[in-house]
Amino acid sequence: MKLRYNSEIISGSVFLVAAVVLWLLIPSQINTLETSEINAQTVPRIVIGGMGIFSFCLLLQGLFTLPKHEVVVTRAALTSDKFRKELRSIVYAVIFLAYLVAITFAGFLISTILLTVAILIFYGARRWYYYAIPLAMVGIVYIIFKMLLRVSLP
Amino acid sequence: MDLFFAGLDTLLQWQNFLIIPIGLALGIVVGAIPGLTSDLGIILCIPLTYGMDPTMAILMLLAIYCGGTYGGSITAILINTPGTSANAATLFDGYPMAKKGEAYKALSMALFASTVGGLISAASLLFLAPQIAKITLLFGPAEYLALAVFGLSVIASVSNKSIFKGLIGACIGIFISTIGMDNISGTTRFVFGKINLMSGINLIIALIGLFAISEIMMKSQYNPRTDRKIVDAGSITKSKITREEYKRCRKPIGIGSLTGVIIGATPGTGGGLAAFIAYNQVKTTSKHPETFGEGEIEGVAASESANNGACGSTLIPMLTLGVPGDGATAILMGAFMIHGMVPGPMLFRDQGNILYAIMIGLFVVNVFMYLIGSVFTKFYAHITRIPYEILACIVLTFCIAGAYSTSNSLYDVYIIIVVGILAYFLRRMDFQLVPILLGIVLGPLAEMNFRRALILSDGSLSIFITRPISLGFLLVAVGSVLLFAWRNHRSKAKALSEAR
Amino acid sequence: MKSSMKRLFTVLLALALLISVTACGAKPAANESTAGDSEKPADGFPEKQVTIIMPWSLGGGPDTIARQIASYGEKYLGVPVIVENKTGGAGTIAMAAALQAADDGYSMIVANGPLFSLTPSFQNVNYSIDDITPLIGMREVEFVVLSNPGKSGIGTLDQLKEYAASGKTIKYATTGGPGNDSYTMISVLFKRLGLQAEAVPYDGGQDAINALAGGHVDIAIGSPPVYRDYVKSGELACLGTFIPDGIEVDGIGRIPSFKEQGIDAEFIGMDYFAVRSTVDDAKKKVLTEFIQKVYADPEFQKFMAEMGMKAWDGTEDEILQKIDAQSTAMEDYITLLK
Repeated sequence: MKLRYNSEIISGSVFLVAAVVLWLLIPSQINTLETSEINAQTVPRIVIGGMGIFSFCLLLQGLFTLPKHEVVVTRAALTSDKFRKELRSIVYAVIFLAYLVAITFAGFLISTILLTVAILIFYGARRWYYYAIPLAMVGIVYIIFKMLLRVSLP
Repeated sequence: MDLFFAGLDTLLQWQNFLIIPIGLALGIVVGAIPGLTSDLGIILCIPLTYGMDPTMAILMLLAIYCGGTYGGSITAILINTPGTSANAATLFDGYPMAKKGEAYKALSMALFASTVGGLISAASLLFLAPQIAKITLLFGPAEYLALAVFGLSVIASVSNKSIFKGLIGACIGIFISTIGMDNISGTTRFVFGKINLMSGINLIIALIGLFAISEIMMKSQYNPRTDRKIVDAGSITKSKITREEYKRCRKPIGIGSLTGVIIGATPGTGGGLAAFIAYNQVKTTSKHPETFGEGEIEGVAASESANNGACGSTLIPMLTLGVPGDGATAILMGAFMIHGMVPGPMLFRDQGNILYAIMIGLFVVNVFMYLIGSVFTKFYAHITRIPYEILACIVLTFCIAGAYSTSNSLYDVYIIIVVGILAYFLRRMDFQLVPILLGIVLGPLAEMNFRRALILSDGSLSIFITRPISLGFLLVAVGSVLLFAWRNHRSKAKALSEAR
Repeated sequence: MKSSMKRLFTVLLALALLISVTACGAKPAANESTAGDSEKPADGFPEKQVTIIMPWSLGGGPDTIARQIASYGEKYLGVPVIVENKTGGAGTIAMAAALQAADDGYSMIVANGPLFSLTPSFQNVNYSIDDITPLIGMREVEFVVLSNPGKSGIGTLDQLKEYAASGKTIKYATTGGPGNDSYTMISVLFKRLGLQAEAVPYDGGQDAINALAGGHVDIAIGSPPVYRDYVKSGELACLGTFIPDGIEVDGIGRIPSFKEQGIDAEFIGMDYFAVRSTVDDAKKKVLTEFIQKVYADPEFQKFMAEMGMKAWDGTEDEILQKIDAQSTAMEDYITLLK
């Protein structure tokens, strides 16, 4: 399978869809009692409409005027360096999302320590002080916020 | 004149000269940490000032404010994340300079420009406050809308790669700013039944997500073994600002400071907008606009002189009219009231000597800022030597704790991470984040005043062009977009003919 | 030599910072021990810091008073009291936060009448008056309607009517949108007068007054201390107040009520302290007594007098009665506006 794409095509179509969805949501999300022509819906309509128009332009630009990358989807491409790099950023995003689950249940201290360790392992840190410094910072931040700023972190 | 000397007399106490450096140091530290702002610094220190006399208390808080506005540039330059929203324009050239190994130079210029901007602003407060206050009252809804449009016109020059991407960014930003309770109609917008979304998405939360988290995500493909550059300690502070560069930055600092003073004096705007407008003006009028964005020292000078240039003049509408110019001054106003001074037209008459002490004290604050800043700068410049994996963890910890503390809610932590991941994908698609930020900052200003103006004019759009100040801003906005488009076109045509 | 001087300076600076930081950390602790001997009630409440949840923005009237009261926490309650602003949603966000907080007495909230009498008609709220117990009043809000004679030529109610009779639509600034008390009251006023008028919502009282001072609107609504100085200097004129008996303002004189001028539009706004209704009665008493002690403090009274404000020590029953009366009145007003 062959794919021809550029960032304009991808982002243009994503935002075109987003704009259409948001546009359709306006009546249910903004119930205004105002009867005037200019009301709470006006500006959201302008910006969502604008988003739709501009992303359509971007899509056209991407389809017809700008150079495209070509990717042939094969088994080899899935093990290529480029694909691996992309995978790394997805793993990173997953670590963040897992952190959100952790902080909800385990609180700031434990989950942030886990996050720090996860990131350091992700980068392949070996030396002990690479772990010690950021972990100490988590503790210090926790204490500073609790004692001085009187913010009790969860 | 009597009041001036009475004020000087009130100011010249040793306690004041002790408290100012403490306030500044605190301000620089909180300003430099992403997620902590000078607003928070001021709020936390208000209880400490209960026992102080008013002059000392207000000077300490002002020192935090000025220090914080300068301090935010440190993170903008070093880790591509503005410490406060006022420093977002410093990203354009500050971070590229740091990447070129000129972090120390960029930091020094940020400090120098901030100090000059601060001093000019202090002078405007001392000598021109009543006159500027009169002009401020002339600003009605139409003028505010025009000012917001002027601010949004900056998008044209910052999204030179693709204007459509810039415009989509601005739409996203304005859309984000409409989430929550609409003050004019009292209805909620896009809250999906979530009570936490009713107060909207906090600017500082959006800032952390957009810049800090996405920046950390951008480095996910960084490989410590191959990408790490070892920089030795000696070379960090080697690149100093040359005499020629100081000379070159005269114009940007001048434009920046003046823009800062004018925008700062307009309530509801603040240093961030001033910095963008100043940066844009300097870039469009420069003989070499193509170097901006690639680590041009004039860019750092323009934006940093503008945001600190706003620091003094935001106090003008607050002191004379009782309208705070931005978030931090709103909190300062609360502090004034706690100390028995009600900002408003009578304040100068009733408490003149304290006010003069404070206004003269602002000069002292800026001078101290330069002294303390030069010491800090040396230390901060070495941050670039910390291995990235360690730095990322530390920055993340601060971001998460800072986000949580803005309203004591985990919700904000969810938002920074989700916004950060989305912003990362936008960046990978070659989107600029600054138009989004401009949309978030200017969206409410534009929308509220657009609607107010149309209520006042009974729905007629002519209100925006029949009022001179409003017309002026709109013309400058259109002019600067056209000038930029023309230049862009010419440089492209030139490149094309050269290629042939 | 030069570098060693710099190093010395840095060390001194760090030291100063450290001292300032430890000083603020240590202060509450020191005060706690001194206050502990005399003030702590029998059951040991309170043992830690008390939070006041504030629905309105920093620097406004209620916020200023609450912060001033909070500064007496260590003196009269033996623990620090802090104010936390949770603004937005016309106060409903703060209400939600207060009801989510534990009912251990360590969270108080500042509330007003319209949260119960007005807001529910405009928003779906998830609280009712039974969820909270008012402890003690904070202030009564005296809304005044103002004009700018220098810009619009309106200085009295009659001139206002003339202005409208000449075919112009009156534009009036309010401190918030529909569902806000000032918006409702001034709109009722124009309905009762039968004048053609349109509201221009601004963000808060000071904003509205400045729009009037700048001549951008014809009429604005204000509450103390915001408008006082402008009226004193003669720049703005008072047309009347919604307080049925009229009010006496230092330096301005008597402001007549609209009721006295034959218009049926009356409203006494109020802010008060409350806790969740499930909090222990003994704890409620401790908190109420704390605020009463602050109200009795001469320093506090001096502060309030300088600000041109008065603390209002209304009791629980008084407050509940007022909310009840207000709810009935508001029903009429809301039908009138719709």
